[in-house]
Amino acid sequence: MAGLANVFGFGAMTNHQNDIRHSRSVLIIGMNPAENHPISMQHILTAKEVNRAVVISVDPRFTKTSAFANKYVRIRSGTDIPFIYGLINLILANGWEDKRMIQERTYDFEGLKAEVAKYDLETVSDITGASKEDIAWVAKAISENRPGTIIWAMGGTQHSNGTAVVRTYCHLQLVLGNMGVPGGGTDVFRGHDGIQGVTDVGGGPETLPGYYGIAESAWKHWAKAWDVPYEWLVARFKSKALMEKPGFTVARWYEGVLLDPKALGQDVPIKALICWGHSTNALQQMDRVKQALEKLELIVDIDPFVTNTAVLPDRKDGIYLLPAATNYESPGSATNTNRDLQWRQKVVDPVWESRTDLAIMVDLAERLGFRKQFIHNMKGDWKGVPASVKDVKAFPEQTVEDVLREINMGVLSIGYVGQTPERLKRQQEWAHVFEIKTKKAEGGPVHGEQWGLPWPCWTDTHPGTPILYRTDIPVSQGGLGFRALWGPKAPDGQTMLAGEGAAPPGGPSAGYPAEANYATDLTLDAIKKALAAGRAPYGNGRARFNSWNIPDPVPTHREPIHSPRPDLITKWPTYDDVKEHYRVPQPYKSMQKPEWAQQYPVILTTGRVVEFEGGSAQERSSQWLVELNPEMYVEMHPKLAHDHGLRHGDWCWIESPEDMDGRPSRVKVKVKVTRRVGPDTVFLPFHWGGVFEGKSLVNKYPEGTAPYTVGESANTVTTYGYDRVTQMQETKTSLCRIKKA
Amino acid sequence: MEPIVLWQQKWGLSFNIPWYLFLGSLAGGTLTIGGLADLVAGRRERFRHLARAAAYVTIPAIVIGGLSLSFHLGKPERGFAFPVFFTNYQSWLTIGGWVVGAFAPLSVAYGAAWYFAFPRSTRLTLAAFGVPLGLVMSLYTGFLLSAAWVIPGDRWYVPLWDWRYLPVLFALSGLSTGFAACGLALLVSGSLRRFFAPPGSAETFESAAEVTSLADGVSLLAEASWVYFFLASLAVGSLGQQAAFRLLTQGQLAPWFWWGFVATGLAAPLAISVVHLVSDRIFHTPAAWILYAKFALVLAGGLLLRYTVVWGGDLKTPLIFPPSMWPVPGVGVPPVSGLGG
Amino acid sequence: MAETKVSIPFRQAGGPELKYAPSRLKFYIDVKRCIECGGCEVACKNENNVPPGIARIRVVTINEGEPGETNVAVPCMHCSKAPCVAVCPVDALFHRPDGIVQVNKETCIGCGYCLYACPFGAPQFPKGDAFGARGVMDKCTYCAGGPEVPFSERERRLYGANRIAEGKLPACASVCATKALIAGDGEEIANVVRMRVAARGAGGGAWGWEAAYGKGF
Repeated sequence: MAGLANVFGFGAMTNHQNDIRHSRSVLIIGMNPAENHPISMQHILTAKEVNRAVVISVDPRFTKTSAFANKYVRIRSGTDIPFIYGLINLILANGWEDKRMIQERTYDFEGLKAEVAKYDLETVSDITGASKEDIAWVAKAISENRPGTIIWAMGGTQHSNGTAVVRTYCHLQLVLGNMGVPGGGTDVFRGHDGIQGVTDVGGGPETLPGYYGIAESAWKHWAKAWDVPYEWLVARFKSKALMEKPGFTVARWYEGVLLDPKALGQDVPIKALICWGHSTNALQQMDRVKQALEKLELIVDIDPFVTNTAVLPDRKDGIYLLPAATNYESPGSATNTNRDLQWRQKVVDPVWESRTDLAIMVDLAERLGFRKQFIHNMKGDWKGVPASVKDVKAFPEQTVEDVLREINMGVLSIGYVGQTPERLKRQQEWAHVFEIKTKKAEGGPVHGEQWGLPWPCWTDTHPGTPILYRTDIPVSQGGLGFRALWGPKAPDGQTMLAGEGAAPPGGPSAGYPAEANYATDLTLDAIKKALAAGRAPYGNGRARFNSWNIPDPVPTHREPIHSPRPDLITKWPTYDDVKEHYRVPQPYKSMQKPEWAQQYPVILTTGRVVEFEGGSAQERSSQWLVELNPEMYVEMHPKLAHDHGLRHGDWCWIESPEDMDGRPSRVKVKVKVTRRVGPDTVFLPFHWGGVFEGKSLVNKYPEGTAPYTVGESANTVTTYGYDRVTQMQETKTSLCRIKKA
Repeated sequence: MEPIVLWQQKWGLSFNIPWYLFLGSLAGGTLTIGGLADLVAGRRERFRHLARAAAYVTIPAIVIGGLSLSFHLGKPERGFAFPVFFTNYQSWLTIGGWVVGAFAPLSVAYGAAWYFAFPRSTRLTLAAFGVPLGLVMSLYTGFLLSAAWVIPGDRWYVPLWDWRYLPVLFALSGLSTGFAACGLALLVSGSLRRFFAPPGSAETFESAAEVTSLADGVSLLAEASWVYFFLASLAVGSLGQQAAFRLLTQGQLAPWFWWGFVATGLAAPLAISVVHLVSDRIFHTPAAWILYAKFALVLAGGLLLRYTVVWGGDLKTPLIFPPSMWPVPGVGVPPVSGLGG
Repeated sequence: MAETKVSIPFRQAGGPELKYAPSRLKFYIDVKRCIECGGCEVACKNENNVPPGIARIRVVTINEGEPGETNVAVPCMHCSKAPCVAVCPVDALFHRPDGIVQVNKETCIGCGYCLYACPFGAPQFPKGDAFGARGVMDKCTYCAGGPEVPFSERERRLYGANRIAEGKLPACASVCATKALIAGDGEEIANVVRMRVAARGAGGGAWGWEAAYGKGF
């Protein structure tokens, strides 16, 4: 998200999955939609059939998606930037770039050109392992077949330079002129149907809901929206300084438990942890997570199923399991990767002792003494909350609706205003009138609306914005320029406002800054003023090839921390060490040891399979899913397996330089011999838990709650490595060695 | 590691079906042998012994075989009541039910005819019915398997169970194992008489056994030739038939086929026959005991033939994907050359 | 012989006997669309409570991990000229007027002949007593239950769901992520396939006996 936000202004998928039916080329890099977004394959395959779209799959593995691609290119894990720059280099050399878009709507193309010049075909082929012919083929294909879209997911982001990788994807689309058009865009496919909503409503340590950040102005905006005195909020924190300092991330919170507080960005270690719908076996360096879980004073695990958190640590007490209801037991809204909001209906009342998340939250707030403020906002209290919520399992639908209304009221920055419960429910009723390619409604009371009212939906009559940054339709229909997030001028004096002609019709014909206070004016006057004048409230700016405020302003290739190529480490080293990032020290160069390449000669990559999702305490408790994929395994190329004396079905140890008290950490897994991976890479699915370094933890589950299958967690052996900007874990590229068990 | 059930094994998983096929065709063979011996050469003592032995061997064979068959069913009680339940007269299972239903009483009657010394004409009438019925019994075990092709137009689903070869193969095997079983019975009778009866009575049994052995040798030769033709036909047949040929002769079933059936059931017995003949005619040392080994090997070979054929039934004719699937643009040509749009 | 009343939703009770059923229900699996997501397998198992080890529908993958990787889902294909129906000694297998092939578990004697006749391996035999009998045949029912009173507890226990009687299509086709597996009237399916084949520009010939078993194969 940070990658997208730092180029365009918003951190989200720019087009939508149905829109792929308009594409004439689909570049899928670092993503496996056939396994992880099966429904999206409907749209991709339709594009392939009807538009004769060229589908290109770029991945270290020949995935199920690659099987449908017109062209498959195998690249070494972590070498996305050279690959993309290699493409851009060829595009510029042949004059295939979209000069108009570059001139009118981007900043510092010269800076990009200078960087890209380093990536000639020879260099790129050496770094990535792809052949020069393949790279040239892809460059030609995506240039000849426009509009084209680029699709990615964790394969692009889970690297120590993941944010930079994402920015290069955006740059490619800008250079090709594929932004703001149907069939184009930068389409990151985020996970499940509520994932975009999680970050939108503030699920991050560096921001309040709506990406306002945590500076004083952000707190003051929300103090107003929540109708609580700003001073009261300040008083809840130890100090104002800490209040405005980004907290720990999910990727590395455990360092806050394990490290000496002097090394931390706060003066005390973390003592208590609440895991709320979270799987610890999804975290890299899980051995350190285990140690932290053993050191904590209090652990609370809130989930419908008993997760890895409960059984991983060796401790006798201090873990509390609170059964939460599933999404079938409560109504609510969810925002998916398309930025669509959909209303979920309740199917059944919470079963057994489960309570909905909202009920648990309000009960906690009540017992901790701030219920009054919690259920209250500028418009009043949430309806339907009884006098005491002890033992209340769920609230009526009107309470949940009021939660969404609070978001509608307060999240103005990204335009969450128009997605009211009424409009969402009405869309559900009229789902049949929405056309499949454009998601636009034809007829009925929803005529003209876009399915899901994708944000930004500036007012309660705005139809939503399915495709971001389109300048061919007026703002009232969903048109937008790029966001003018960084002011009217760059530090070097160049303009950051869009050029003449690059603006949605019905308003000014060139760029303009953001409407003053549009994000903090809770009366919506600022937004309405902008819309009345045909202007986008967030301005009309330029996309940045050079994001001067984050490290590497123009992205450049950096080898993964665990790289198999010492020669490339010298030439393309990782970042300098960072003293403190999200309250923990974040070394880079000092962690990159070229000698690992010899001791651990095999590239380790991790990922998902279609049968499971995430930590999978839930999926591994489904007998049907487990029957399809019953065991943890490692995918190994036949040559690699035979070199180690292994055959299909044998047990082996995978060891990595992840330090488990002075020895390498390891997992014992079965070998699946397949040509999906190349002879230099192995793949571990990360869904399993319940076995640690060969020892089963099944007996630690409370009676009757153990899942049908347990296995080693891939993350026991994944190693240190975090993104420079977001601290996202580098689970896609590590090193390991194999031993016959 | 996906545990996808592709084709379930059923008949090969337990002992029931191979043993039924073996015993059923053995019973058919022995009844035919006995009936023929009785009709054609009943006056001579050796052939009378042979016919009697055959009559007695048939009964336990068909009874145990029949029980085996019934207990492999999910509902054996319905198997016993087959006249009521088996209504699909086009199915070989139904036909087979009636064949067994006719064969069993007839073989019991024939055995009784010997044991209770029925008049010779009655006995010969029974034999006259028994000869063809026995052949039908052995042939039918082959038809039972190879009828898995019922859709008109030459579609084999199980390439190994070829209806042109399998029934005759089972019939010939029925004869050879029949001779072996009778020969064994004669030898045993002879040995018993040698120890418990007045001297001189054993010799006829032993000479009957030798005649049986000779006839067994002839039928083994016929069987071996038929197997050769069968394999030759598979080797030049369709994709599926070639796969079946490979499975049988080079694949997983190869040890069972070559060592279990060909070596044990065909080659070794024939070799022993030659040795016996040589030792008897040229060196004049009749070693009747060697015939024990020969007959036992033939029986073992016959049983292993049935097991191998049933296991080979798991190989199905490969389904070919539609031509419209190939070639996949940018990906390449189909994995099997010759497929194409 | 056990007389079981077969309730056929399409035939009008007491009306003129139709020579042809209004539709002939079929499956079609588009191998250019199947992504092996397993949705059909899970939906079927869940809808019909299929015992472990039995796969009424399964996805087969060839050339896994290599160019040419292709997937196809294999349910019972409800053949118009079904070999299983032809070989069953007790006539336990039968065609409904709408083309669905079903087994009468009361009549089935568990001989396994249908298993050997079927080119797709659709008949399967559960071991235990989960379905009320010792090892009688179980297979895909096109989510049309069996020869019992529709929606009765007996039908549910022996055969699984009866979605056809509710006017719905089988669970597997309903959840297919990419519309690779399509179910419905044979003519309608043929139209869909024609459209797709024309769009793809590939040569003719989708499924058919000649393609699968033609000369030389």
